[in-house]
Amino acid sequence: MSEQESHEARDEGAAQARRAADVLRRRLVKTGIAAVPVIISLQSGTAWAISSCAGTTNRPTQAQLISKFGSFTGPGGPTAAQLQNQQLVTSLTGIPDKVAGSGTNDIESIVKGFSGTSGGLSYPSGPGASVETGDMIHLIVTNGSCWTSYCAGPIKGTHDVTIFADTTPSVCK
Amino acid sequence: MDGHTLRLAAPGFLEWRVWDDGCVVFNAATGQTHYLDNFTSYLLRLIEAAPLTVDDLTETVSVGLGRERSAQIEAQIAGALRNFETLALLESAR
Repeated sequence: MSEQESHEARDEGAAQARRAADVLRRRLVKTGIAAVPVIISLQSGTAWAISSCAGTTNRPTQAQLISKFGSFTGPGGPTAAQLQNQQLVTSLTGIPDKVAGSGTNDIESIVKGFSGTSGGLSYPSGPGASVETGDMIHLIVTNGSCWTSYCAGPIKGTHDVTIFADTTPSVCK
Repeated sequence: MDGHTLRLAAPGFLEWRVWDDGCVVFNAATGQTHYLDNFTSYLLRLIEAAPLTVDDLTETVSVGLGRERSAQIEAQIAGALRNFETLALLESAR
């Protein structure tokens, strides 16, 4: 990147930050400030999720951070094909049902990478690839009617992955 | 610390996701992910937009929120800034 391009990127970043700050400012004028400002570092096993359901506005809040996480082995396995459609945890707490009267929220599948498609999500590496340390994965959670996607990674080992949810379920980086 | 200039520790390394009640920010420089409420997100965004002193930040926040500058708001900002430094989100320098 040339020096000029670098300056332009920096200026665009600053402008974007200013716009975002103004959105937050207007929000704070309406809602006020909490007595104790909140900064929480998300530990392994915590997750954020955005529902894919059309028209859904009931997004999980900070209070609904997920603390449980299923176990899976590190380098060498299991394969994405083995993980797909496997229920790796019995339940996740904190995800509200998006549809009244629907079933429980269970992990439907964990798929490594980003190639191919499944349910509208893109995966760069298809079934058969092993889940390894450093990989990014998608967690698909379903309640029977709607699915929720968590972008997770990088995998650091058994029980140890940081979840970083994406607002666009088809993109996970 | 009032005269120190605040700036992001790793400019260009923050990725944000925004919700109504707060933001999640991923710091690619440290590999850590943090949840920030709207107020702390606001502070970090202001610093991300441009380096500034604590005094300028406090003034900008007070004016922006339509509030009198107060000991309470100064303490809230100071607390958030300490946390940001501890988390290597920002650095301050004379």
